[in-house]
Amino acid sequence: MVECSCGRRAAVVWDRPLCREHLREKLFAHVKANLDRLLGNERIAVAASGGKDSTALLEIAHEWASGRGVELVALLVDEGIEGYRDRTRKFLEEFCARRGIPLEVVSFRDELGEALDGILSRERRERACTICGTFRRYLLNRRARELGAGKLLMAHNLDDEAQTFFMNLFSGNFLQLTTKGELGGIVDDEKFVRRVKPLLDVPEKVLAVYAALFHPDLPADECPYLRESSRFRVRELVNELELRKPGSKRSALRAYLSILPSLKSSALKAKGRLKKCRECGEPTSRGLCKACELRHQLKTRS
Amino acid sequence: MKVEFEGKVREVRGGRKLIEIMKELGVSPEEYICVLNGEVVTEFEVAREGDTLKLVRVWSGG
Repeated sequence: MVECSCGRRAAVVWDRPLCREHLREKLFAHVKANLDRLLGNERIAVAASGGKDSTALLEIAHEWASGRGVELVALLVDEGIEGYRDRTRKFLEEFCARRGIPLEVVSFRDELGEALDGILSRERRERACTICGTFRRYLLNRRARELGAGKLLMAHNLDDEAQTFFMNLFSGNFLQLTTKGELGGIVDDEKFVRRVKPLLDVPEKVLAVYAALFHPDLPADECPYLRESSRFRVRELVNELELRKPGSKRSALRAYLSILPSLKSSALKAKGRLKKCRECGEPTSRGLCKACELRHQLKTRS
Repeated sequence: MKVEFEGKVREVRGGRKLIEIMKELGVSPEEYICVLNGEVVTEFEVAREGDTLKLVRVWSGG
């Protein structure tokens, strides 16, 4: 039997074998230490989807915020993916209601005039993550700002970050990494709510085991567009690499975080400070923000 | 022993670590959680003949 240090059977290995109780203890202590380091007393918004990662983040951040008198709101973007988002949304609504967490929902249908399923009926499905991600980031930032949040918490985990590193490396788009890291963005701007990633160094499998043990009613559905994305192929590659050379994901994250300050400094010199989009007024490094550019391409409502 | 994954049931040889069974099935321990006789365990646990292993996919997507 693989044992935790307390003698109980281990459910997962995260640096060392951990039983159910010690997994929870370590995860909460680890993420709360990250929150202590990354946040002050400002109001926070947590980007929540009803998936395993953001549910764990919301649960831990809520406990952390309650103990400090920090105001927290959960923020869900409902893209309109039938048979997927409706299930995770229902789970999240019940999760928040049980704990007294205020939940705000922003939908593509209300904001863009059309759900993602509708948009993708005219587009190549491989573009799903680009389209969805662009509008999600746009809506999350705008709504978090309207809610008075000083920081927006995102539930990206170690695997997500390692994949992002390799995706940008393979596409030769290294400067794109400058907006990432545990504190997103390069500079403070009144229209930009900086994104914080407290799960950045937590492996995805740890979060999956936590969800299986503590939230067994969590919908275990995958986004129906995921398997056609380039991220999915990179995910398989990175997982293969981790099996052949354990620690590769962490090494990738360490490498990326070590060069991030100089990348941010180069990007600031190259791009300058944030501008306002000439159409919607939202922050952008260009004249027209990516969301407005996509709206024109897709002919959705502006 | 029985292994359930992706909606299928396979009969495999027990008396070895779960990670070896996963390799035989072409299933990555990075992408699946092991549930042995109803309990979540690590892939380094040893299964016995007569055990039931369920492999649950680590799902993602925001």
